[in-house]
Amino acid sequence: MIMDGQPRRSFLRACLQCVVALPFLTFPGCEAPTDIRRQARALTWWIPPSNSVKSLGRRYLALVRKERNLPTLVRLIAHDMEEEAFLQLVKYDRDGLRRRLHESHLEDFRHGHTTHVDRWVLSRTEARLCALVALLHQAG
Amino acid sequence: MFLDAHNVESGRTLEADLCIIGSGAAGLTVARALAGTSLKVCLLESGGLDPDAKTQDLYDAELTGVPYFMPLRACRQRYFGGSTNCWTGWCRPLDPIDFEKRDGVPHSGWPFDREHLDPWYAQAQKVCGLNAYTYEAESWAGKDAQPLPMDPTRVVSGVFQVSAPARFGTIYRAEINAAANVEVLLHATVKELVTTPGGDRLDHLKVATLAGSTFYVKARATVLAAGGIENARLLLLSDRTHTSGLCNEHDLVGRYFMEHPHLYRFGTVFVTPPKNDRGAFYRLRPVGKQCSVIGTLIIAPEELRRRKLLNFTATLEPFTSHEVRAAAKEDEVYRDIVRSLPLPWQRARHGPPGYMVHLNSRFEQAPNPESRVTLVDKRDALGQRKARLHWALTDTDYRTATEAMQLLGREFGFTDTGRFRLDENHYRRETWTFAGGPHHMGTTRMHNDPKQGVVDRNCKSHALSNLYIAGSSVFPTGGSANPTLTIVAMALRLADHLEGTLA
Repeated sequence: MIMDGQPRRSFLRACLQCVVALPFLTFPGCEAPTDIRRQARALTWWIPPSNSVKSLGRRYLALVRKERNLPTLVRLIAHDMEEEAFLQLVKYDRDGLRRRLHESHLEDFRHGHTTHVDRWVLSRTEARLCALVALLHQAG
Repeated sequence: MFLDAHNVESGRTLEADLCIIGSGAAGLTVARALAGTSLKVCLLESGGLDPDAKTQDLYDAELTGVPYFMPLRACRQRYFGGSTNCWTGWCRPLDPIDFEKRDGVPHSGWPFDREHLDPWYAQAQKVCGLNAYTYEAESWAGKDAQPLPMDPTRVVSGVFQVSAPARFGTIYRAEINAAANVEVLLHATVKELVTTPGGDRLDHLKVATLAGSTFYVKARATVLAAGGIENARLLLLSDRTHTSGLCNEHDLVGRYFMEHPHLYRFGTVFVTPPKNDRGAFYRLRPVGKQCSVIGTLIIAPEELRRRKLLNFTATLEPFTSHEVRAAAKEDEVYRDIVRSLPLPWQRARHGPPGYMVHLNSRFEQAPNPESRVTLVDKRDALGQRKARLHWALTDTDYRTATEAMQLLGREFGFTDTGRFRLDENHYRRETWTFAGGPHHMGTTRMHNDPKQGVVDRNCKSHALSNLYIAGSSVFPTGGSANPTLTIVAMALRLADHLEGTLA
């Protein structure tokens, strides 16, 4: 069937939205690891998985071995948010989530919650975000 | 008037109201301040009007302890004007906290506060060829040169004023030559300070030339202003009546040697691409014909007290274009970090390549009795025992540098100025290589209690009623500022005291 321009554009937009939204959708009966991966992706959605970010993440994980799993990292990054509020941000307000993380990262610097990764002085939050990216993109 | 000691008859005794040993920043300042008074002043200078290798060799000394960054023969100048002939001109007064007795800094505390010294600091500005007596960042900030907006309870900005630099031996030569009451004896090296039989007053000085003649100078009062190491050396060499040397009843002479340990390029700040030039305030810029200012980051006094740290300043040195190219890979990592920040704006994605600066630090060394000047058996050309400098640092010194670096890294992040990366050689203290002023301080320290200081609050020796000591050897603590301005201020203060006492 040959579609004219308008319906084809609508169809393509709908497909694209599905692809973008897929990782954030909750399906009945989904398992916890999927939830965690979805939360991890929401926490890092704006971060390009560049080699340097992944490398910093791996180095951080090498320093802090007990954080070498997604649930722990997600919990630590979101530690100052109420669980329900965090889940709402994950689902509906990713820009709001990013703003919250910006506050966390400034608070880290303010209170000296910093870490040395490859001689960089980073806030704990940003080091953990790099670690999340590294875990989410392990194959890379 | 200038005289050559080679023309003084051997065995002769010269007389004066005041004899000053050394014509550096301290000695020359005292002499200038007393020029035109009724006092007859004799200024003894070991060298001539120009540098001379044989005289310079008299500075040769041994070094032990923490590796010292240059031979002692090379870091001072032994001719008219002293080490102002080689100084860089960087000036800044000590901070008020430097005068305090501080928890966590044993042996700290001056007998007076900064406010007391302010009038002489203001006068010293002119002597050193500087601008107005203000070192606050606000006084030197401009529309295009703003200090970084850091938390003022942690890190503050200030400035160093940088003189041309003023070569005292050149710019004040004619003035001294014209002073009718000041006689400068060149090529006159003091070998010994000799006391009266009672041992409580200085009787005369034994002076020699490299040509072999010896003569004497007898004065109502003497100012020892030969430098932070030679002041101690001369007192230790004068052991005729006191075997441990003069003014050394309590084993203080030569101890508490302090430097300003410098860590050059201890780290890099990758500055977030800014809307305006964030580094301008921290670059050297002229503020008059003879003077420039350069901004500096200073750990705030509240933070120093809270953490029990020593004073610490850091200056920013922009990368050269070659260094920027060499650091392209690191810069890309930084830009990736910036992209990963949960920031509400996107400037890093579209900005120019990051602006990178080296951080250079100079910090205070804790007073430490084990850091000291002693004598060795080797002799110089005049048969005098040479000095040995044992430079010793304490854990507080290392902790200060470590914590200050971390603190600066935090503040760069907190203000979103950029990110800080420690240099490879400065990540662990075991690999640190220190440079220094060279600033030699503390070896004849000032304290009201004779058991804790060699001189009193007026720079008068506790042991000898007519011996005064000038220069940075009297500093009980050294702060993190270059010492020349304080040396000159203290010398002006001493001159006022002497004029009142001797007139």
